[in-house]
Amino acid sequence: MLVKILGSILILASTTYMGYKKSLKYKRRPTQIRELQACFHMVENEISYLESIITDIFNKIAESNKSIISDIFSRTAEIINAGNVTGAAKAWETSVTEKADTTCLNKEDIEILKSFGKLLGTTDKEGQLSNIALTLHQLKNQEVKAEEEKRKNGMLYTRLGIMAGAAVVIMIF
Amino acid sequence: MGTVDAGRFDVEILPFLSERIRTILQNKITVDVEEIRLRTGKPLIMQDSQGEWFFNSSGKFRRWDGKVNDCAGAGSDWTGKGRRLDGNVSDWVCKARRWDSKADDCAAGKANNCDGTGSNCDGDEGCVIVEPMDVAQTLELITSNSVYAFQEEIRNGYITIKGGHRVGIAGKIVSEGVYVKSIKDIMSLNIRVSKEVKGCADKIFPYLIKGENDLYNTLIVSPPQCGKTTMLRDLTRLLSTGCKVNGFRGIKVCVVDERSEIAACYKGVPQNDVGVRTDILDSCPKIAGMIMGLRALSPVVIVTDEIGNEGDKDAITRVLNAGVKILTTAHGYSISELKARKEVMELIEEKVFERYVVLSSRGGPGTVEEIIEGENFKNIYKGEFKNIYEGEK
Repeated sequence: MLVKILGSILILASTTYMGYKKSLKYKRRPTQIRELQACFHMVENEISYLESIITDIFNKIAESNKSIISDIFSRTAEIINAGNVTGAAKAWETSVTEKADTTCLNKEDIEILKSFGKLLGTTDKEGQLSNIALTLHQLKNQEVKAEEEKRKNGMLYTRLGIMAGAAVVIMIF
Repeated sequence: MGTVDAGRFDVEILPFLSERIRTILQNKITVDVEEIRLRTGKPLIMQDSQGEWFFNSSGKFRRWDGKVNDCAGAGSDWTGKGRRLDGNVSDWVCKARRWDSKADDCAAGKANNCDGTGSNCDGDEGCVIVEPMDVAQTLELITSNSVYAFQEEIRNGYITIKGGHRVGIAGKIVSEGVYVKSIKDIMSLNIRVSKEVKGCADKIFPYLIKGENDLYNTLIVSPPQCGKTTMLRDLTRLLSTGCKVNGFRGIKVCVVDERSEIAACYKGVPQNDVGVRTDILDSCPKIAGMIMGLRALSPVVIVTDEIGNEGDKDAITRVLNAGVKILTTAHGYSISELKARKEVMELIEEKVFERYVVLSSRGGPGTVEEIIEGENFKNIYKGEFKNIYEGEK
């Protein structure tokens, strides 16, 4: 009997945790999308007023706020500086792919980021700025969707975790 | 000085070249390299004071002594020296070698017949041909993957890299009226190694100063490639830092460096020594810069390169009216020739300049032909045709 009780507590705890983890993804995603937008605004400013080079901009972003999101930028700068890959586009893609799993961003968000990279650094100022504007616009839409999903799914998964655990426990008894 | 030591080259130029070219050039640079040329589909060429060098895939390279056509005809013997860059001279005799000025001909290596034995010269497969990828990659590295940051430079046709070296760009120009918007389909890159020759102006400096902290308004007149900017840079350094030998204390200098040639700034940091009391307005339009410097930096002298465009005269007049001296240069072979150019002529006629320094390349770049005093156009210094680079070689 004691084993049963202990077992069910364990099951309940783990499913609750799983549910909570899943809901965290939804809870954090809007924040991270907002962070991304802030970063892109910074890129925009740096390009339009200072015409700084990409690595400088990305390092500056990483310096001004350390987070999972700014890691994508600093990692890109790192890759470019290492000189193993050619082209900022390639470096950006590698970095995004590497860091995708550490973030709470979903596939769609990652696709937006990747398509931003394709023009990175290769066009004139106007081209860069319009590319950033497009990315920002897309992220804005993602943010709205993410908020919606957070509202819907955030609580859902926490509860689902508990429920699932409870169901298993009931079946055991 | 006047040369780039191999170590400096490795750090300052090599990292900007495409990987393939980098491997080819590694450790094979002569100390007095002047230019490296990347032309898509054409051989990679390096130029030093002795002439051009081509490369082959085994990394060695040889000099053609500029006599490319001499060996065009089959059966014509000629002796060429295949010099390695490490200074070892390996002689080789090449017979019946076709060149035809077509790089591709020697790429096959089939037309090469050395010593009549049928073996190829140096076992080479011909010249290293620059591929489109090389140009693209090099450009990417030069612009730090940020083309937008170099828009203005690209429009002007060149980019200054760290160390003050300049990369000239040629390709299809995208223009709007007379205004160049951009360059696309970039085919050629010309890397010009910058040369700072400290001390090249020592000789003429005493003729241009007035007491211990003043100078004459000076115009350096010189044809292209005669060390005009090099001279201007060294004068700037002397004026700014001061010169104990001449009892000159050093004055506040403002450099309007429209083409990033004088101070050769990289991210705002001058790559050449332009003195301790120097403020630099890097890549600043000349006219705007002169006015800006005048207002904001309270200089004693404003230094700028290559006057002669519309509006320069007015700007210079404004500078002089504010009691600030001017040190500048103009393209030309002599003063009489300069007078043909409206903007400069008016300045000469108004006796704006008190000293003219005329340069030539008679004894190598930087030969001082004469210094002329601006009031009565009397000659006050006659050069003995001494090459400024001579001391270093």
